[in-house]
Amino acid sequence: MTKYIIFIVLILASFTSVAGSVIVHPDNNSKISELDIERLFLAKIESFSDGKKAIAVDQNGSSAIRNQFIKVVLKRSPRQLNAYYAKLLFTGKGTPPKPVGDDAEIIEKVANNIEMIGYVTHAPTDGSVKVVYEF
Amino acid sequence: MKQISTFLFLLLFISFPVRAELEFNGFASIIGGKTLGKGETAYGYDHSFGFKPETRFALQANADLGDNLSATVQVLARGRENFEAKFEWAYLSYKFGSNTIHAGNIRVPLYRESEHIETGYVYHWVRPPAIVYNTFFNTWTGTSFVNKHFWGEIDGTFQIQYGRADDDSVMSPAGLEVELDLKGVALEYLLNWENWQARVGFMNVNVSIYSELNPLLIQSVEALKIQGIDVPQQYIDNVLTENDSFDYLSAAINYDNAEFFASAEYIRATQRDVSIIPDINNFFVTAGWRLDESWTIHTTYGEAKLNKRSHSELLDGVSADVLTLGVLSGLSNSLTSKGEFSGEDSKYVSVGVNYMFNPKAVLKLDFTSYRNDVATGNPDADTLSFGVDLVF
Repeated sequence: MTKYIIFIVLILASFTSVAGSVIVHPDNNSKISELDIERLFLAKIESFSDGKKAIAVDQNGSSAIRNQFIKVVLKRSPRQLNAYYAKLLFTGKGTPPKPVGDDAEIIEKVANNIEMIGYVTHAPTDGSVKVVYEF
Repeated sequence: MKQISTFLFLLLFISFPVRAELEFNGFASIIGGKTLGKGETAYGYDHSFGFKPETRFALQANADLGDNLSATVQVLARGRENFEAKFEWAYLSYKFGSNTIHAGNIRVPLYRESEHIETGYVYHWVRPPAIVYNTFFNTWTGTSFVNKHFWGEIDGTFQIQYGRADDDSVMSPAGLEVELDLKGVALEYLLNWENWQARVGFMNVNVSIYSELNPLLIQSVEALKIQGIDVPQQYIDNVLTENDSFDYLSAAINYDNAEFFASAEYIRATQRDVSIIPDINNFFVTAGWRLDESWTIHTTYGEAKLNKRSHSELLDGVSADVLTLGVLSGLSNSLTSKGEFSGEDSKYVSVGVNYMFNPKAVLKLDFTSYRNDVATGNPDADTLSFGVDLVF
């Protein structure tokens, strides 16, 4: 019986497990909600809650983490998002987040720029970046 | 004006070579099509296959000039203009807080898809339903102010534009080449909430149109003069579209939950002066299903209702003797039947299937049927078109 319970707990845990983390510079002390993250990555806002400038940076291409982030946080499909970004870009209504690379490159950029916000599969625990949200 | 702004932007791009970070993006639509019936024409196609009418390529360059200032040019080459590259957009942007000001050559936010109408990749059709998206002009030179704001989970965008378009040669919705001089103000408000989006737009423009109607009327007036009949100036003003004031009201609602989407759009165009151009009341509804990551099917139905000005209305405010009024009534009849804005109520149906074979490219196949109640001539057409929309 306990075996089954452990098994079920493990299955549940695998469903709720964290796929990725949203990271900012460790000195960024602004409050960042899920809605803020959604709006930052949809180029609806361009500053953090403390009014300081924010630059959202994207993962490259169609990586698993990007698909997951789009689905869970931005609540869209990759093609809806592509169309949305194209609308912004070609009408001057906003600047879509620039794809800057994979985990390592995003961590490096965010660790060196207080204005940046990105998302990664594995956030380092060495204090170089701060995790503000997990999805 | 266009040349001046183009020149200014070129100058800007040249003069900020070191500081400015240039970024290039683009889109393209390669579309082929034909009408199914002999003698039918629609969207530039006829009964034999053509690739020129709707094929287009665009390249956009954006220079971030620092201090919240940026310059953007979008060069567009259309098949129907023999791929002569034109500056479709060319503007400076200045951002402050949640506001943006654009100044230059900008696209008018007439309808929901108007501002990105050339970027086929962003909508499901090969072209937005012509029953609504059938306008004299898309861009003008002017300035816009955009403000983004939030109401809890709802976000709103307000836009106001002021601009002027003076083009030597544009196609009228009836397919005639006309000269257009237009200036006015456009307002737009957009609301987004979860899967819903709502939009209202209003535009008031002062329009002057020079077409073959102008010389035709002058000839008629001269001919009548020889016969001893003086045509009152009021009548000429009534017939010609010169500084006539038009109001456009548009509304749209959209739902999209990633698997299913539906939207409806309505426009109403009326004029404040007596004119030969009919008022319009047009709408369409559309729905689509994204079957999986690649396939989408969709369908659209629309109707256009013209409230034609009666011939006698052209005599409004005209004081003349009975004989002259009789002659003018006959003249009105022949002028309106000349058909610059001919056509009657019409219906529009389309079905389409899309296949996304690459995250940035969609293959589209579309069948569109158009029926017009007009008694003379035959604008009815069934059109088959297919092609690829992509962004890069």
